[in-house]
Amino acid sequence: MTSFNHLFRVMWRPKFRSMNQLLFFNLLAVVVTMVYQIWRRGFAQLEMISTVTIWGSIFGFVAFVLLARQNEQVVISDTYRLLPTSDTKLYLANLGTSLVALLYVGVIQVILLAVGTAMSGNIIRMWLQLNIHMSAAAWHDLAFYGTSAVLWGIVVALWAWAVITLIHFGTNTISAFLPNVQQRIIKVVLAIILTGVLLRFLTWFAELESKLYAAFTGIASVLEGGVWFDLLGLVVVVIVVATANIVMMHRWVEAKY
Amino acid sequence: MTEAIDITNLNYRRNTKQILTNVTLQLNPGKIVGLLGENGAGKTTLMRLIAGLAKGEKGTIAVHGQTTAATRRAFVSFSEALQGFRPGDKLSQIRDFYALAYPDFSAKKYLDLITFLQIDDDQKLATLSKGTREKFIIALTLSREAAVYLLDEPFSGIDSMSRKRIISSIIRWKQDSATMVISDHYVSEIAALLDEVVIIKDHTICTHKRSDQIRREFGLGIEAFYESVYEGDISDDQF
Repeated sequence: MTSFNHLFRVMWRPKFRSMNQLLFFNLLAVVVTMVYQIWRRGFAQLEMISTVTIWGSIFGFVAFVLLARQNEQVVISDTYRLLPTSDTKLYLANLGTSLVALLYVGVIQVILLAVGTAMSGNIIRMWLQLNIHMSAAAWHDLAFYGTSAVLWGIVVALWAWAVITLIHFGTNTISAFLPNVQQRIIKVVLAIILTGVLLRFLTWFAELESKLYAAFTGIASVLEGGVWFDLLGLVVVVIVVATANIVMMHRWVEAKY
Repeated sequence: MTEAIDITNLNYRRNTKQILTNVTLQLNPGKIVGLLGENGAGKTTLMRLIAGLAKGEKGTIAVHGQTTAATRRAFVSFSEALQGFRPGDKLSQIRDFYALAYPDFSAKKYLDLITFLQIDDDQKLATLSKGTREKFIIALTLSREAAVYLLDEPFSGIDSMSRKRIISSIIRWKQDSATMVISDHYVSEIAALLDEVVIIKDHTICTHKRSDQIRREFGLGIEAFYESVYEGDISDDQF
């Protein structure tokens, strides 16, 4: 049987390669914009923070979409479905490698931002000089919002990928029980219906979660505790959706050939 | 002795269409078996079910006594179309994938096979001709020290020289204890290789016989026997 470690490595390699290709174009875009800015306004007026942030956001989103596409290709490909391992391990390794690849892109963006700041980040440097003497409470808030933003980013990415797979697998599973005519149209209609049902369920779940939090604490979920409670709710949704995906993968969803 | 493949009352239905009905089959270790049938008979589906790629079947499939899809796959080397790789991937990268993913992958066997099949693994997947791609798939499949090899139409659309090389590599690199199932509808290509023949017709296995038994009992070669079965010249009673 293929160990989880080896599974992770074989799934990581192609994703790492495509993320590096993407980062190359990201860097190219930043450099071209920088050269254009220097040509237009001169080096003294160069402001790299917004350039790096805008390109980072665009390429970060592209990375997220590319990884979502790769996730779906892996789970219906003979190459991966033939590996001697359980469907649970295969699914988790796929999701895990995508997450690590996205974090890798995030870390590179932070490095680019740091380099950009060091080169010509007047706004950030001024902000740091003004706030270097922040109170302990202010630093705590900064740490809290920073940590929760990163955690929310991770859980939202996992949630989005799991939901995309749920729609993909749900469509495949239902269409397998329908006649083999106009399958493409049937799949599109099923995907739209499933997306609608899923959105309604998630809205209901979010309302239920808010009510539960209010019932237990007597306050609305906008404070610190509420942020963690909402995050926990989303983690539960990710676990439930991922479990449903693994069950469908194990019982009905075939590799495409 | 545990059968290499043991299938009991297998039924498989997809898109409201019955594809396999009441398939029961036992294959012993060490044999080369031809899985014959016309296009759409269910040969590929049967192989995919054995490899755990097709889902939703009823009945049992055991490979060396293992009945779950994941444990069966550890014993099975299936000739897959390499759809999980990008056209720009080098063959050596695909080799690395196999070496890492399959504990039974033999780097020595791989090297011997690609040398024999005249494949340069520095090439990119997209640059391969159909014949070279098929040879590379055979090299990867046989490079595993598996108990069961499933070769799904390994000769479709490739030239005679490549076919001969593939057949020679099968004879040379198959371990004595391993079972090999080769599906095809061009019987003449593989007839000389086969120890046993399984014919799929009307969604089920209509006969399973040893090659020598076919020659002795029917006085026919494998190709003539296969054609006679399909044309109805040999009735079910004669099996």
